Amino acid sequence: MSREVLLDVSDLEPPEPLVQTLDAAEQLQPGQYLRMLHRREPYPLYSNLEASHFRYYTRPGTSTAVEVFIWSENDAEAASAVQAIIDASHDH
Amino acid sequence: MNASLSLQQSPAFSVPARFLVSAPLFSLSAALLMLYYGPQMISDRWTPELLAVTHLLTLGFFAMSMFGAMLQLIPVLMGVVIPQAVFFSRIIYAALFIGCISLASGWLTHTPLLFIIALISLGVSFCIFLLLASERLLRSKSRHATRSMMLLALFALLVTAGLGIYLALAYTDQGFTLARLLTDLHLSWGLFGWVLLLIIAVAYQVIPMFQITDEYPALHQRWLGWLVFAILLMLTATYVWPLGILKTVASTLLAICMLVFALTTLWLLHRRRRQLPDLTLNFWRLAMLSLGLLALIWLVATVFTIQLPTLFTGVLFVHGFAMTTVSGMMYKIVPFLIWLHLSTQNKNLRDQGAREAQVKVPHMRKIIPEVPGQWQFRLHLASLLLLLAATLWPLWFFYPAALLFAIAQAALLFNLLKAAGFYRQTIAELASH
Repeated sequence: MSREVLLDVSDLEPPEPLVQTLDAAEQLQPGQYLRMLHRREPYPLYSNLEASHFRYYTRPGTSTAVEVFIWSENDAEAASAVQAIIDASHDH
Repeated sequence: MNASLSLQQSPAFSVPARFLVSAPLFSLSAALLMLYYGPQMISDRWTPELLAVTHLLTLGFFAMSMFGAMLQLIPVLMGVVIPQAVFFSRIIYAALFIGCISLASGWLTHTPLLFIIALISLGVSFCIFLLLASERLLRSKSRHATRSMMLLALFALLVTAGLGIYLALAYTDQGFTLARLLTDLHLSWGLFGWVLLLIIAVAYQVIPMFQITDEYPALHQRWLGWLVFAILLMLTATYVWPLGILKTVASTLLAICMLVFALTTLWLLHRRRRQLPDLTLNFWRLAMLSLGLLALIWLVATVFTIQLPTLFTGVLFVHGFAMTTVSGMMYKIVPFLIWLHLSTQNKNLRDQGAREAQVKVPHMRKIIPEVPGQWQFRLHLASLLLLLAATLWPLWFFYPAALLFAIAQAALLFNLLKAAGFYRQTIAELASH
């Protein structure tokens, strides 16, 4: 099982990016995180994620304008996997 | 764990909905008045019937819908909640509604008392809206160009309303004289400040978001709105120092700004990422073609010092550009809000374990079906073409234009009422569980 679940919503019209991201976040297995690719920073998503006990980290993307990492706040394994990616990008 | 939709930023559906659904009532009334009064009403710019119709469109249709849209967009796009949104929106709405009707009836019946009622009502509505919206925008941490453009548009509305109230005092029979010279200034700040700047502000957000295009170029976002604002200041200065050259420069620059905005938007829409047919896209294209054509006519008239065909360009701006843009946005915003509020209710019920109480929320595109929307667009386009023809050949085209305009606005009203009815019915079903 891959740790990363990739979801590209950059070509979708609202509200599809929000709906698909929340659905994909719900389906994360323990240890998994979601890497969501989007053309703009999805502000309405954040309050929805917080309300549902998800954590997120947003950074500029490579193929799209932004990418958002999303993981469950109770999932230490997924959190450390995302932390490793953040650290690697800072070192880079 | 269930993810649920949050409406933290979004006000109650009734806040924007009452404004958006009511707007076509005023445009329909304007069209019916045109049918009643006939082509004599456009014999010159100052007939009371034409003034009544114009204000039913600019205040009743445009300000009504944009007040509603802003009460929705400011919290969602700028991240600031509007306190007591339902309470404030009711006062702003009721005062604007009464103000519009009184003003139009004042002109049609030559009754000074109706102008006094209109001035008080519109004054109350504008004051509350301007204070509320500008205070919220100033508090927003957003640094998007939309924020500064909206603030400029609100300032323009303040100037427009101030001049409008001053001009209308002459009709109250209280000894004020009509400062007709100021009419063009009132009109410039209203159309090129409030309407144009606000549409630019909203386009910066909704075109990339809903039409899935690239962002507007950074230079465009940074300078265009400020340039339009500076041009309006220049035009205002010509009232104090009547320099012909300053007026020509300002007019030319204004036409160029409109052309740049129209062409950039058409170019972004042409290069959109998903080449799917879309109703709102048709409205945006028609609006930008109208604005582009208006800018070209304006430019030619300024450069060659030809008299501007006032009524023709007025129809292009008010109907072709402003009303088309707003109608197109209604077809996106209203279904989106209905979808959002119903989905939220559904998810909340699911979180509470009340699965059987859920209703099926249709796809956003099904809330206002494509076919009636496309028909309304065709009627809208046909009414624009006939109205333009009516300004040139009123005896031939005035009545067909007014009739088609009435049908198109009735169809818009019907489409919006049907969507709102669907929302009310579904909410009632949810509440009955």
